[in-house]
Amino acid sequence: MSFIEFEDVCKEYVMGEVVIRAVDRVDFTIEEGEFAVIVGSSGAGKTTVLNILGGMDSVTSGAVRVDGSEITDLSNRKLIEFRRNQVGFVFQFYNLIPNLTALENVEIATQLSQDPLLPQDVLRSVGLEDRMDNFPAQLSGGEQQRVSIARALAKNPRLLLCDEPTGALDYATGKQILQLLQDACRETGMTVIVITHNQAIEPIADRVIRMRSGGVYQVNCNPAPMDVADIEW
Amino acid sequence: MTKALLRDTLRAIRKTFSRFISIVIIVALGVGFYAGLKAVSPNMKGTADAFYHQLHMADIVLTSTVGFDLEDVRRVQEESGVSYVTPSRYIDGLLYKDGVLEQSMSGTAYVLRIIGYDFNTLEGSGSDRLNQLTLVDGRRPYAPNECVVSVYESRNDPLHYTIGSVLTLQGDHEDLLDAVKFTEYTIVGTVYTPEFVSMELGASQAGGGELSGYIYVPDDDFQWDYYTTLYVGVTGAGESEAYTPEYEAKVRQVQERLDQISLPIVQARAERLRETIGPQLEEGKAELEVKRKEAEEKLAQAREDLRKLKDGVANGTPEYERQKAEAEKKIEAAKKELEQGRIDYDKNWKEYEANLAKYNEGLAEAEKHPNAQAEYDEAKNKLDIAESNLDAAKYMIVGARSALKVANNALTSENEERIKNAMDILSAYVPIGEDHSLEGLRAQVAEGEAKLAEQEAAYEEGKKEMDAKKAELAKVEPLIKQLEELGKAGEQLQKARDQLMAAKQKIDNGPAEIEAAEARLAEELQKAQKDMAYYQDLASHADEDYAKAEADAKQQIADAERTIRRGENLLLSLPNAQWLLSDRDEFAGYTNYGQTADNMKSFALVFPVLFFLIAALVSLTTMTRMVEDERMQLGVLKAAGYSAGAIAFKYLFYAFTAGFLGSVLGMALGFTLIPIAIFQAYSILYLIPSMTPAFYLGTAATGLGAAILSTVGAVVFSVLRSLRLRPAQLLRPKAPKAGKRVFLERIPPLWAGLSFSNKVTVRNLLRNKKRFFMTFAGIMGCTALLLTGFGIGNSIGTMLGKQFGADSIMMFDGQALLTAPIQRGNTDAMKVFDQPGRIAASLPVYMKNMYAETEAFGRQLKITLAVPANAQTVQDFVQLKDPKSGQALKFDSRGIFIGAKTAELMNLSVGDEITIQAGSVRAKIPVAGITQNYVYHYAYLAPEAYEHFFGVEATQFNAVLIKLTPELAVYDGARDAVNAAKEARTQLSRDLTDEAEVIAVVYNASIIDKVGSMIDIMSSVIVSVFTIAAGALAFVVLYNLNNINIYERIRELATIKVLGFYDLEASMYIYRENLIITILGIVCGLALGIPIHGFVIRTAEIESMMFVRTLAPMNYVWSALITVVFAVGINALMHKKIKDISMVESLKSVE
Repeated sequence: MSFIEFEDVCKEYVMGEVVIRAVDRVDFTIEEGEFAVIVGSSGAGKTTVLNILGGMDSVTSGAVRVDGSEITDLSNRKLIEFRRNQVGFVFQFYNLIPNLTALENVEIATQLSQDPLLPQDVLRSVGLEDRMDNFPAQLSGGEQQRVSIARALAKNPRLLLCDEPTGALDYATGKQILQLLQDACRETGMTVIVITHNQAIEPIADRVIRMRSGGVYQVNCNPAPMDVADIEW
Repeated sequence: MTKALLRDTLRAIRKTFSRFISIVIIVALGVGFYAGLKAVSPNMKGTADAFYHQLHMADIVLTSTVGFDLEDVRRVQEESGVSYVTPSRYIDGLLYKDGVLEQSMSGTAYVLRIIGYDFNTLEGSGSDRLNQLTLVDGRRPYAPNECVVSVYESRNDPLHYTIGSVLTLQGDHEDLLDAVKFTEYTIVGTVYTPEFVSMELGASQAGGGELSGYIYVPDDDFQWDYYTTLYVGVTGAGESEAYTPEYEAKVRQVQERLDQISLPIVQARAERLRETIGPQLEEGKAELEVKRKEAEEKLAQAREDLRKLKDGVANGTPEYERQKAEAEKKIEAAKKELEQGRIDYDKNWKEYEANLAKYNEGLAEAEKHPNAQAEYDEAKNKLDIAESNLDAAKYMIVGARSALKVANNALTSENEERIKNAMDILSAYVPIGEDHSLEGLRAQVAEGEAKLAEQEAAYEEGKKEMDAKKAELAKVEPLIKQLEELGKAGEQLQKARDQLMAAKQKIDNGPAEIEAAEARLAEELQKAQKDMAYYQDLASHADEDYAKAEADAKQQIADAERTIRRGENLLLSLPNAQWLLSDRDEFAGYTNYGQTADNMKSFALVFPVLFFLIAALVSLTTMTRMVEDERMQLGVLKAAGYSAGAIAFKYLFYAFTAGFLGSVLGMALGFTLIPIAIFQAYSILYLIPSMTPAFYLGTAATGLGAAILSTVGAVVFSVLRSLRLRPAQLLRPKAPKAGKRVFLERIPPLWAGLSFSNKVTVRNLLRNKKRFFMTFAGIMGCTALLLTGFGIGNSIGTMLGKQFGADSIMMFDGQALLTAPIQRGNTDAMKVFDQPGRIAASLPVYMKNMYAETEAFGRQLKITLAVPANAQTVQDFVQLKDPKSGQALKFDSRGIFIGAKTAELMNLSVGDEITIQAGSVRAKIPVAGITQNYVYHYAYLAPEAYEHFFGVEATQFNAVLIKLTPELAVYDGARDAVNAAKEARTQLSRDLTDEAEVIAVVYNASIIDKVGSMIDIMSSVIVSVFTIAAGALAFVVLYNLNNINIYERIRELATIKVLGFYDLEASMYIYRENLIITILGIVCGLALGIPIHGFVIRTAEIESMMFVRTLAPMNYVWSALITVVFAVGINALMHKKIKDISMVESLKSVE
């Protein structure tokens, strides 16, 4: 049994009289400890998949299992617990709380978790030991995204979901961020799922799930993923 | 202004409808409360004035110690300034139902006033009569025993006052029928009356001292030749509205004139009275004697009856025992007899059986000679015949022999005649042949002799034979006799048997009979016992009955004596006869109503300031938010070349529309709902038919102006700031507000001590200072309003208790008004007040309403001057204390002591001079002390000082302050004790007023009753108005701000939800800030409430009262608590909003 299983998942939105099928019969699996990338152009349904996986959205039909438990069946409270204890989230626009320092933005997550890492350690590990007491407005985009990653990692989750983590960053910074994510996966054995439209990232992933018009059209396993430093776009 | 811009503006309103509405609502609240509260006073007064005017309410009320007659009416009518005089009269009785005294609401005797009224002068009849009645329901009375009641009474007490019901009255210690013709009145209609404007009907000299109800009966029903009251109308007074200074000045002028001319009129009346009263009194006394004697006789008879009854009951028991013993003895005898009977019966039965055996034996013997009897009978029969034959023969023989002798003698005499007779006799025995010769005859006689001899022989023979037979028969006779006896014995046996049977029957029935007898006895005994119990009961009550009869009789005599004593006292008091003049204050509730209206006016001041400030702040936040949201559009428009004015117009229009709509809404509701709601609340207390809302232009203009100013002003402020920027600046998104260190972080020990979430909260709080401040202001305003409201309730609610009562300023319980003043030094006159067990202490005092003025004050202030007889003991009756320290002041003759409010109004301090005007006398007096005082303007002078400053020789004390014993001074606690004390007080007042020296007794308790309920309602109205206002304020402000807060932080909230915050944690993320603002707001609100309360109280005070200016600890507690409740309520509403935020918001791109 795989760590993550999507089984015939459909998701429909009703917009007035129009029914839009955002995700259409999606099936895939991801093994524990894998670095998976879900690739697709905008509108391919990858964000919806991420939302469903993060317990932020419900499915219209089908089942999603994480580590054997069916999250599509969970109560709202259980879903929050699932997010709280098992999922870390990295947003495209970082979503740091502007009013908190970098350290505090990490702390707000660690105080929720049952088995958190020390916020200072995590920040140090993402290379922000000197910027801990800075507010988001005083940080560059990359730094902010690193705080965001630190916030997700500090919870010590089993699953890290990243929504276009490099989308708002320049090339070099984007690579640094990807390196961070890959390292996190390698070093802690955490399952990392990155959503992106950038196909250049594919080579570094253990598994690549390609999506188009709401459906998965290809899943590739990469027995020897490349290092982040070796890819270019 | 282009069409597009207008459309855009309207669209903006639609899009941000909830924001728009929140501005409208806050403005509506401010304008509504302002307009409404401002309108209350003029609206209430105007409504009342129209009512008074319609019913021709009198302006001056005259009462007299000697009543009025029509001559008095004429004299008053002639005075200039008097438009009309209406005499009126009333008497107070007690209301009874089914022979039982009814109780008033407070549990004392139900005092009902019977007021005479000429029903031809009802309102609308065109009459000029003062104090007209308006018929509302039913019809006017036609019969003299019909009456009408007030609408108010029939509405609140339908049990007593329904049309058709009958009211039964009795005099309180007097006979009502001396005054009116009936004691039962049928209610035929309901009316409005101007004479009683309030629920508190005022004092009465009957029952518990308070009037409980009143009825109007045809005036002809009164038998008096005088009136109790004169109602006076003042020319031109009706042109000024009631309660205005103009009105009061007009009335006061006429009132003073009447006061001046009163003496000769009242003395003339006294003289007329003396002429009629003297003879009446003598008559009454004689009547009383007769009554007294009659009563004595009746009572003696009753005593005799009572004695008899008691004797009977005392003898009852022995008699019962005797009869019982007798009856039991009888039963015992009957039992014994029965026993004896049984023994006798047994014996007799044996005897009977023996006899029966003997009889049977004889019977057997007799049966051996079955024909003996028959034979014997036959033989005897034959013998009897034979014997009778023999007897006949013997007779014949004797006759014949004598006839023969006669014949022989006749033959010897040869007398033919004799012979012939003899022959005739003889022929009866012996046949005589035809030969009637002597010879022949001789022969024949001889032959007869022979025959006779023959016959004699035969006879002898027969006789012998018969004797033999007789002997034979005699032999059989014993047997026959035996037989006869046997027959008799048989009969006897039969009889004996019958007797025995009867005896047996009797014996058999005996026990049952005895039982029946016993049962009968028991029954009779029970009956006897019952009878005895009945009579014992009767006897035991007889004492009571007698006592009651005796008391009744005594009461009747006492009543009669009282009437006579009153007459005597009246006669005595005639030289001191006087009028009491008063204005409309005499009509229960008139003054209180005006004061109520005035009070409400003052509260209108607090709201506008606070509400308009809040409205401005709310508009400011909302408009700022809107301008920032549309920053880009602003830039585009500016870049397109629209002028700043055109762009700003949208926002100005938006704000103006909101402010205008809010004002219109607020006025529509405020001018109607608030006056009507407050009037309705007071309609429990006041009988003014109904209120018509009115529009007050000045108020409306002010309210609208303030509203527009605060909303449009806010827009100008926020829009102009943005419009000063260049289009390029506007087109760039505004840089998000950077996080900042807060000052707390500079104090590391403090900052480190905070938990993580608290740090976040503190920083969030300080991030948006404007919002923080506004929420804070909202909460603070809410708390301050509540504290003000509760505080006003406290201030006016506790005032009376501090003025009157045990540990207050006026510690005396009441005062007696004297008929004739007591001169200083005259101690004899105080004997009346020597009432051990009832009056604990008394103090003569000169008390008079006067006018005080100073040059600076510029007008006159009505004060009550009190000159106590004894400067030392005065502190036992009235506490003269320093208002600040509460220390007792030394009361001496240095000068006048005035109340704190008087001093404040006239701006006086110790040592200043004040001019007091009493009639034509004016005195300039230095202020020697300022005392604590809450109600009215009391001023105190020592007698020496009074004499000195007013040039009086010796002070004439016209009243006596009374301190009651603790038994009579019970004002709260158990209802029974309170009522008992109340009745005892009325009794005392009655007893005192019966004396020639006292006109009336007024208790402070009745003042408290009169004002107390008004104050209670006023407090609750004020507290509710303030609470509603505070709640509305808290709601609008907090809801609006929370909404904006959540809207601005929706991304943040969505993110923390993604991080795994539970719903409650997410809400708490916001709430923690609200909590702190709430706490801060409450604390500051409490602090702010104190000066606001002080301000409102000072402005709300009416001239004659000083409210308690402090707050009670519980006022703070409640204000804080209710604010918390409001805040929690709104936050609970917000929880759902936060819960419903979609996490997908967190993924959206930053605009």
